[in-house]
Amino acid sequence: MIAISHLDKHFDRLHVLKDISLTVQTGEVLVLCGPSGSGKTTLLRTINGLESIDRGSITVDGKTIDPKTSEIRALRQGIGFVFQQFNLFPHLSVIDNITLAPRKLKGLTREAAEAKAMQLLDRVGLRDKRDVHTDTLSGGQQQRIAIARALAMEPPVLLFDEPTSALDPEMVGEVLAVIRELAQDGMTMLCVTHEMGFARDVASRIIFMAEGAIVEDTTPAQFFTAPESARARAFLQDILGH
Amino acid sequence: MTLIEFLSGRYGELLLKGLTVTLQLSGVTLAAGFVIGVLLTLIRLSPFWIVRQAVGLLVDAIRSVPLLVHVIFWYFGAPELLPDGPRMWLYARDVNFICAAIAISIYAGAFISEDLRSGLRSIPKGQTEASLSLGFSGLETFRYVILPQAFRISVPPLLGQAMTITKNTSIALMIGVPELVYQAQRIQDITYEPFLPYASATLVYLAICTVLTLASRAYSRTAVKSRGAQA
Repeated sequence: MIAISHLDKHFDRLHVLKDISLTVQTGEVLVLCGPSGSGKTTLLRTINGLESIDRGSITVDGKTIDPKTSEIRALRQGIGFVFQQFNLFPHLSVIDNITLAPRKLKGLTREAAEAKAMQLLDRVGLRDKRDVHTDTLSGGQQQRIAIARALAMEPPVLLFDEPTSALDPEMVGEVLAVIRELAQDGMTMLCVTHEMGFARDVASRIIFMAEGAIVEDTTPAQFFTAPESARARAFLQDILGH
Repeated sequence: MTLIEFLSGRYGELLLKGLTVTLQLSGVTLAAGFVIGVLLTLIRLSPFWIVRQAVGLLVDAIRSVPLLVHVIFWYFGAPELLPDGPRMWLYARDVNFICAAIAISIYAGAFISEDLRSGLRSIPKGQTEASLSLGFSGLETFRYVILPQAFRISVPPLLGQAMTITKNTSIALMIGVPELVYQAQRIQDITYEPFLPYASATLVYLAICTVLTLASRAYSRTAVKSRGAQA
């Protein structure tokens, strides 16, 4: 589904991604974790072309991702992206946030797009927020709407960039529950997160990154019980507490 | 003479004529200034560094020169640069009004473009990224996501510009456009009495600006409360 090979990226002199190779099969749920500054968010953003790359290649469904080409627009329609800061459109109502892309990009009628959007609102448990203005919603609700907005384009892959990091602790659960359900439905997903409990339950693979490189690519069971590298052990100790 | 007596007579008529010219000049310059402001803003979004810099410098230059100097240039200077044909055409018309309108429009356009630009800049980068991620092109992102938000943000400063423009039109009296203050001055020349004509003119400006201020406040309130009602 996704194939990344020998990817290198610099921010000026900083070598943020070092010779990354990674393959993701349909239906897999990858959790990307690692200390901050390890390049996991940057890696995620290269997959839908929000970041350019210096060397190497990325293909999604066999098609090369290159932000400089105009094909990137069509490819992005098939890659849902959920941001840490939600990034809902504040000038639109909830329903219009969800229907904007299907209407303008897929040519759906307003009725068809709204019918689909209502199903998605049901799925994220926010049917009654249909006509509400987005800035009246809590962070957790905004993030669930953002997930519905991404799903509205029916992408085969979803990318999550720390979807719960900007949330108050009591709202983390409701967002993770939605993502968990998507995983159970067989959605292919890559998720950058510090929620290790979620990673252990939901991930089919854990990608542990440090200093721009993939240090471990393993199963959750292996990663949480017997991490191979000293870096991963230190990371787990820090994040899981004592 | 009371204010009522003063206004109901011939002087009231003169002031009314002046007000008409002031409103005409304000309306024309506000519309033209807005168009100029939008054009300048669009050019400043150009991908070419040199174009952005050139227009930025031009806008700064326009804003740095006093409006009176603009008016004097467009009235005394610019027409002389025209070939005979267009110059004759211009002089056959209300050249004072036209030159004042051009000067104030360009001046206002520069300020409006700054308001629009800061409106555009205040939209967080995440908005563009969210739109691109859905598969929208850069142009579609601008059209559906950035522009509507920037416009909403720009409405209060634009109403502020409308206020400034209305007051600034009084400078046109320097080149003999018979607007409100011009007429007040004329009445003073006749009556040797400055208080009533200038007080009346002042009240008129105050009234116009109050309306615009109230409109701006009302907009800010409704914008906060019910932006979700439309989309």
